Amino acid sequence: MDYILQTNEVSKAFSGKMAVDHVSISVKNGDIYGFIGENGAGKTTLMRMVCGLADPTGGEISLFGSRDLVSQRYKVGCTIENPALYPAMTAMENMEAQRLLLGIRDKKVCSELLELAGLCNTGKKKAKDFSLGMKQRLMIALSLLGDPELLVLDEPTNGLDPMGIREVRDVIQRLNESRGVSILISSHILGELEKMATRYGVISNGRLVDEFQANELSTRCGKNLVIHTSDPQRVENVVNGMWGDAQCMRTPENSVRVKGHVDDAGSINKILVEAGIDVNALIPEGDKLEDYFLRLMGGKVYA
Amino acid sequence: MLNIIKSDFYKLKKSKAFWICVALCVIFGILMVVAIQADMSMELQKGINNPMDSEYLSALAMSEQVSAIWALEYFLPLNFNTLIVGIFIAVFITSEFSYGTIKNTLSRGADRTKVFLSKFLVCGVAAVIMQILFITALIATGSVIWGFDPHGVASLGSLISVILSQLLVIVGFAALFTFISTTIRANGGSIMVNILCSTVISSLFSALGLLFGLKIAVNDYWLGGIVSKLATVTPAAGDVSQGIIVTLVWGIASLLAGTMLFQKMDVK
Repeated sequence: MDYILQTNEVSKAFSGKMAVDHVSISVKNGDIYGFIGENGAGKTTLMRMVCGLADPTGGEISLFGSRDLVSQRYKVGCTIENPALYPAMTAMENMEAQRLLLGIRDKKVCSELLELAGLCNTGKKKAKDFSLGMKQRLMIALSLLGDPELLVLDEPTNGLDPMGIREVRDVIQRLNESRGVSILISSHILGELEKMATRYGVISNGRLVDEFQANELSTRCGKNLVIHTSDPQRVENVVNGMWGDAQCMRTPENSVRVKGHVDDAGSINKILVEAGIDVNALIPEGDKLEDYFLRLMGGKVYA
Repeated sequence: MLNIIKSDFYKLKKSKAFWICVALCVIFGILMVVAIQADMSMELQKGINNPMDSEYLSALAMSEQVSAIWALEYFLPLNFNTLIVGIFIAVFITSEFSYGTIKNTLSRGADRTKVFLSKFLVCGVAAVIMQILFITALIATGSVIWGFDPHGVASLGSLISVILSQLLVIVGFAALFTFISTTIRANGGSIMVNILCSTVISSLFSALGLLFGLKIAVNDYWLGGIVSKLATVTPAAGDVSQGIIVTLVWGIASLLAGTMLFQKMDVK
């Protein structure tokens, strides 16, 4: 089973207005799928449909290769929008309510997951007294009950301070690497997504405008390699000799900017040195995910 | 289904609103009897100076009737307990929507029909517990102050019949309140509508009947009216069966409507 989540032309209309418009995304086993879009683009609506909180008005969703979503959703953990917790209950009591719901017999699993989320020492502290970061981590612990194979996380770092963001990111990466949990995550902090996502989907006005692997990002973002050298002309000749399609440009500092080929920095360096050319520095340079996203949105600044 | 019920009962056990409402049922059950006794004693004092005082005479008449059974027949039709149950169910159910915790249930593949029925079941049990405690508090306090049944109007069978029929009606109300709260989802709105159902509608139906001179007593087909009709150890012939049928119709209709609406509902 290659894809654990596929949406095929999924749509959702509210009072005739398309919130999600024929969106088809595919999340592969082991992916951390970064779902990007401006406010109101339709990210949360699509995630809610995946999690069974809203019915699509068109299209189909399949989970783990099956269209019987109710039976497959046991294997999906989710946090949609704000942390959904019982404020008057402790972390353990919140876990216990969900454990009973899922019919998990092993009571120890709650304390194990709380430990994983770094919440094992919260004792009798009620969830309403937790910081936002603690609430987000408790939500992740809750969604991990029942050993889900897919986690759907809607802006899990929303409102967190840098420390909290890092904690959540660490938990997500640990889950993906050590437990093999696939993750569909949306976030406005694109720099954070860039650190963990293996695949991206970009949605705007309800429509999927791009979907690509993380390693395709450098091409899409137009990443360049800047070569600082004392002999730029020879560098250009050598690089053009290596790749006929290489586009070399001279920078104002008289360095050479090679479009793309960021991953070839090692081999370029080796050949230039072998050709007796002084290479002072090889620096990757270019757009980040955020720049690419903004360009895709037509330069529109989003909140 | 069993897992959903277990989880909902766990939430009930941890619900502060539930324990507060339970305590209120007991406290008010006691206070109502004590308040009547205090008022009656005060009015009877007036007779020392003026034996023809009308308030004294009515208090005197009342003092000859009062008993634990009388308290039951007098206070149950006031629907006080129904009011508490309505508020509790509104708080218990709408909190799932306002905290967003219903998403944790539905997103893990729980069948919506089962989720709705589980909520009804738990609310029904909570309502029965509150009703039993309210009735127990009334009977116990009434027995201590006035005696259980000094005039011998009730038999054990008729008392059991009153209690069981009241429990059935409160379960019918629980189904209606569950439907209302699940449909409205907002805390304030649900509390308001549930309060209207438990208090105002009976009076409204009675008023409409009088206003338009209706031959059919509309209130007899409403749960609130049934509470009054069945709150007696000497019910009229046919009242019990009519009450059971009306309660079942309201209860089943509420469950069917609630299940259907909840199936199609988008959860935010």
